[in-house]
Amino acid sequence: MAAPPISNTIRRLRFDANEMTQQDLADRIGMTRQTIAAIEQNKYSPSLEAAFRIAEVFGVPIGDVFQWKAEKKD
Amino acid sequence: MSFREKNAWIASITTLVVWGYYFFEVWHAFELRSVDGLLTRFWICLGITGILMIGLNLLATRNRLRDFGAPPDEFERQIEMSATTVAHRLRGWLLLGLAAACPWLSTIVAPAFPADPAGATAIFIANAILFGLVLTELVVELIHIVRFRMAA
Repeated sequence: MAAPPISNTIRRLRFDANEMTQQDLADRIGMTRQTIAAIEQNKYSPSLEAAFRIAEVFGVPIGDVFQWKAEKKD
Repeated sequence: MSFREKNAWIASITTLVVWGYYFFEVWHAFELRSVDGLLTRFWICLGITGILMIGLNLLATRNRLRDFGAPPDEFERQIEMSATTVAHRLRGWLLLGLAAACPWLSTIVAPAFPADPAGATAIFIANAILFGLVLTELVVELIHIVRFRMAA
């Protein structure tokens, strides 16, 4: 399965937030640690609601958490 | 490994071992031309499955209140939905195939049990339906495991 064309900075944001653990983030947005790990490794694209919740936890705009990798057009 | 993935592993292994044994016994009963005790074995296997599933899941969880009480998150719901879609189609096709195979099945089972051909045929058709349902559940759990492993 191809990775979704979306990258994220959750790992860095967690580091900046006093090394917040994946479990802490998962608990704060009502997900499992495994789902956070899958999002962080770009193996699963979260819903818009979950994306907003993640951004809210770090207090940043959603665009600072997720970035769309535009496909090259010929 | 998440609680739901552990749950899928436990269900798969329990199903393979317990129901593998049961269907081996069904085949053995056909070979021996005797269905005596088959119903008892079915209830025993059902009971063992329940006990193993509850017991192993209790052992596998770290935080019982959180793991057993928590609803699935969106990723787990997505996996559940895709597995359910496959299961729905597979179950339908298996039951349709079984319905089509019933006349053929009766030509094999009925002559092997001359004392009660209709009863024996009914028992083996019921077990064939059970086999289809167990196989479907096994496929569902395997889909869960594969999807969880792909995201790990």
